[in-house]
Amino acid sequence: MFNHRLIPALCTALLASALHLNAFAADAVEVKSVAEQEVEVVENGKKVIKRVPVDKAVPGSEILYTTTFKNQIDKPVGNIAITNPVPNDMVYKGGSARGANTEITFSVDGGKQYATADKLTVKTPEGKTRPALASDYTHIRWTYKGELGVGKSGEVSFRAVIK
Amino acid sequence: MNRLPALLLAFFVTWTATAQGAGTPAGIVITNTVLLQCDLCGPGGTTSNTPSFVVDNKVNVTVAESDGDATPVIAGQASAVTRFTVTNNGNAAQDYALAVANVASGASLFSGIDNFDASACFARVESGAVSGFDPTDTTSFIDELAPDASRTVYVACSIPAGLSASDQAIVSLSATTLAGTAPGVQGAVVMQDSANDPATVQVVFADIAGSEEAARDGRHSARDAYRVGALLSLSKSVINVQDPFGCSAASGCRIVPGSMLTYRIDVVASGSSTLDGLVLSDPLPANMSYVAGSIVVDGVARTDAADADLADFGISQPNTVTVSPGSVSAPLSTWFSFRALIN
Repeated sequence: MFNHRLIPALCTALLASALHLNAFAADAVEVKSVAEQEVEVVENGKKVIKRVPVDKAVPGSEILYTTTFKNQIDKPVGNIAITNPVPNDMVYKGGSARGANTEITFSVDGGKQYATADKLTVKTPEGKTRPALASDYTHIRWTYKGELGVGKSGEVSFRAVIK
Repeated sequence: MNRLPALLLAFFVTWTATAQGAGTPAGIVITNTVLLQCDLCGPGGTTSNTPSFVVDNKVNVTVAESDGDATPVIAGQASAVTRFTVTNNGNAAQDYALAVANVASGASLFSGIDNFDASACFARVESGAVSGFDPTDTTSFIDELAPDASRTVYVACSIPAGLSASDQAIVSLSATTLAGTAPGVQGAVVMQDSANDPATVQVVFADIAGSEEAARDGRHSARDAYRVGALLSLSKSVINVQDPFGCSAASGCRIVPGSMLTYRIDVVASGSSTLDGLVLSDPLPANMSYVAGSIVVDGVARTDAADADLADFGISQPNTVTVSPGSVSAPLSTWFSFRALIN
């Protein structure tokens, strides 16, 4: 005797688990990156700094990179770490990394290890050790403290100069 | 659950940075990608979009005077040449147009004041074949100058007649940035782009103000000066040969070991100013011996000792005839002679 009520229940169970898999595969956190420059404009007779998409990009130009991230699921998300390699042909501008509620660390070895700026060192060609300079950094990392609530977003940024 | 690796306190790496003076070449694309990891993110995390833009053409040129002082000339000099260096401080290869101009009367340079104009001035680029300004330098514009590279440019002018000592002409050399195009082809003047396109290489002027024009105009310039002074020319000849075996009708007076030669050095100073501290010297070659007491200056015999007659042998400088007229006023001509034996 085949219980035809069981079949729909089985189908629903299978469908539910399939949906659960899809939810895990979709991005829990959406992440967007923007490259901008600051220009001085005159508004109502006053000089104002405005952010515009990258305009003139020549050696020496300073670019402001902003990353926004948003929780897209129905649960708080934790252990968030945002890693940004210093872009090619650019130098990180020391002290420019920002991020509310984050701990900021840097790498000088291609992203293998990270430490706060004050603890980073490099070896000179002569074999001596010296404190790392902003120009030695290869990566920037923001470690978000705690959890990002449902529907909440955050923003981190840094500046780099074209070599 | 993604656990991040434990942070280390300190670590070591060798870092070699290659600095490029002019900077990143125009046309390089700069991209940025961000990785976000979290406990509920998939393995490998989430990657952001990739904002990108292209590095624009920074146009920057400098012209500099080369010799650090005014170029001495004489009135009526057919060709007076002075040197400049033109450097490409931008991040792409460029051509440069060159222009020479006379600076207005009253301007000062190298402690002198401009009071005449040089005439028929033109600029030529050093070809690299022969050092100095010479007939191989035929090009009048700079062709394909690479970032951080320099070229020597000669400015040649004629100096008018009827000038006095210390009269000065100041000239300027201006370089205008042209497109790089192809070798041998003079490019068009570059213009700064007003519209913005992050995906296209656009022209950005970054030059500083030169002697003749403003900053950020794709041009630069520098000045140099011609100052009227005196020109010294020396010529040496053998005016007599004594053949030890006697001169003959068949072979003349032979120059062989044992021959005694009389050398004469003529000194002509043209122009119209004073030469201070003039010293003339003629070192003897290794295979000759000086004949004692043979120095004659302007027809008057001089002693070999360093005394008031201002000529000596071997005292001021070893194995050398030295004549020290001191201060002379151009124009003038003088001569001295001495005898030497071939060993």
